[in-house]
Amino acid sequence: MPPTSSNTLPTMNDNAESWIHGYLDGTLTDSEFAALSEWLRSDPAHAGRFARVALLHNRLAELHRGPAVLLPPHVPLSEIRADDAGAADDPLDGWDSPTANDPAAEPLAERSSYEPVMGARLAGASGAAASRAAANRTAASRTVASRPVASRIGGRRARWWAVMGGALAVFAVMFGLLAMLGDSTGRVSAATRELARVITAQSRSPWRSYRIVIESERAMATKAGRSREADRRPPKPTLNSASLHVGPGGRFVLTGVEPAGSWTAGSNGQQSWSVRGTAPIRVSDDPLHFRRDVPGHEHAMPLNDLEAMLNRLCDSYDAVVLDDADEPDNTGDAAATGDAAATGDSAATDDSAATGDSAAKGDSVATGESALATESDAANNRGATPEPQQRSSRRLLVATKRRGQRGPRQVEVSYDSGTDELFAIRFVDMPYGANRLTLRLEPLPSEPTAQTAKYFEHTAHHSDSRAIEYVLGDGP
Amino acid sequence: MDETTRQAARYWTLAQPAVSAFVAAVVHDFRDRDDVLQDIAVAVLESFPSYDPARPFTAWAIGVARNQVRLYLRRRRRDRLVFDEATIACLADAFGEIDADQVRRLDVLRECLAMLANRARGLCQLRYEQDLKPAAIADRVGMTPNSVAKALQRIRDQLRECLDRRASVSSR
Repeated sequence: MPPTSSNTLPTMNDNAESWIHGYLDGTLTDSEFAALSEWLRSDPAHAGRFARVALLHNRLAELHRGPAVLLPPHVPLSEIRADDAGAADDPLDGWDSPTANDPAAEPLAERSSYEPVMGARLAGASGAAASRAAANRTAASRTVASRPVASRIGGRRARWWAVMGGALAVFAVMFGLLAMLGDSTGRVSAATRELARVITAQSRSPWRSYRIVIESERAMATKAGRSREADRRPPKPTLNSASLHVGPGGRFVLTGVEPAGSWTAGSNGQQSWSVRGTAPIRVSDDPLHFRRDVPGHEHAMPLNDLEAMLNRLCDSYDAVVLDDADEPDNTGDAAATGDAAATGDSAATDDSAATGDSAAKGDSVATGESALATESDAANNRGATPEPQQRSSRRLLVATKRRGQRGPRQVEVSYDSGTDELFAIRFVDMPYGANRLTLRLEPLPSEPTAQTAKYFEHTAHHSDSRAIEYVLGDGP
Repeated sequence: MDETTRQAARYWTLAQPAVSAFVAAVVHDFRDRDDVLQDIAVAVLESFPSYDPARPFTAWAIGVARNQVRLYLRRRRRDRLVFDEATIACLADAFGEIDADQVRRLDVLRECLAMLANRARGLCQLRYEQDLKPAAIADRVGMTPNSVAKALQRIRDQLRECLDRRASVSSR
């Protein structure tokens, strides 16, 4: 009912909530819209109410247009349909009835204390969700690769990704991993929880930027056939001082500088692309095709995918959390050294050591020290002076590869245990083409322009006049 | 990246959810929202030297967003149900006051969604995943448009209650 005068405002206020929802759902008539507009202008608190509902509405839209892993299981249309004629027009009838065998169907409104139940249930449900998500990603890759470029570009779902959805994706993975490790006790579980927390905190914004710092690079030890195979692959670009930008939906941009000029590789989630020097821009329908330049790609833990890294660390690594460094100058305390040394023992038995890598033996103590130093460097490089209480809660998680597994020999995550702020992730002996790298990934503030979908299109990284070459199949 | 850009980036990351919600509240077309948001990001970066740190950044960024939205709406004058300048100004003020806690409490929205009954989740999928309006949803599920609209409102109310309860539990 439209207002006819200011006297109608109390009535409008009564209806305001439904007008707000109606506006967001696109169901308002012109007169209702006029009424809503007047109501919004009549009191700043009204606009505040609108903003709160709109914030939730926007997040719901982002969540549902983001990766499948973000969402609870899909409900088939047959389950949504109102079969009972009597219930058909009553949206409240039957909506909140819990299903006996489906704890997820328990109504929100009737739950008096759902907090502990929620945690347990999510842990179980998200394990399956994580597996589904992996399958979905694979299926999505196949689907995307088989569709014409033109039909994919401009897809509505593809264009509207969750701005904050990444955080929720990581929640799902985190709970799934905790469920998988539910039988584990002691430090491995604690380490997993710590790592999941840190990664969740990182993912509060799915638009993230990192700097890659190469500490050392060496040719991979010759092992029958392996290096020759690596030599046959396209050469990897130089990574030192490279930067990595990550967005939701598998988006990434990796950029660096070589003597021949700058290079950039990236993906908008549906296509991947490469921009090198003055050569034609190369574009592939496979969103993973040019991800090969991202370290860790070959071992299912690409640097642009924290979820995948978390999965791999849980599946293939033994992790320990070193005790808090109570003071900045306590970085080499006995407890930390002991843990790291134990890690080093484990490292010395893995396949990296078997390849004749002397560095693999007993260097974890030094590794721990360097990682903690790295943390300090990272804070300085960000231009942010940590508060004293934050400095006192620095932690280091050291994950050491299990025997027979592939990937970097050791991964160190340094972070603030109070705020979960990530200082750096250090990868020791990460295979990269024909070489092994020890590198650090350090968070950088993400530029506003790198926090939009357009930044992840190749067109944002070259002039319009450049030639474009479409890559077919899996060729280099 | 110089220190100014670094600082702008830090602030923008915190303000972006509120700015995004503001744009979504005024710009209906999904593709247009992306474009407008991109323009806002560029404008924020370019205008950052004029930002007064004594003011809340989100409110300032919403001000920048308001200018970009105004430009957009000028081009789309034919659209119906577009708020006028005065209303947009009120909304800009309200979105500018959204703080980090309000944004952060949405982090558990997925968990709250998982607790909805199947039919309610299904309605959310149809509304948000497929971007169907209540009338189109009603056709598919055998309800009236009005009952779908009411159901969606109630679902959002339930989700908001869930978020509030989660926030109160975590603050204890």
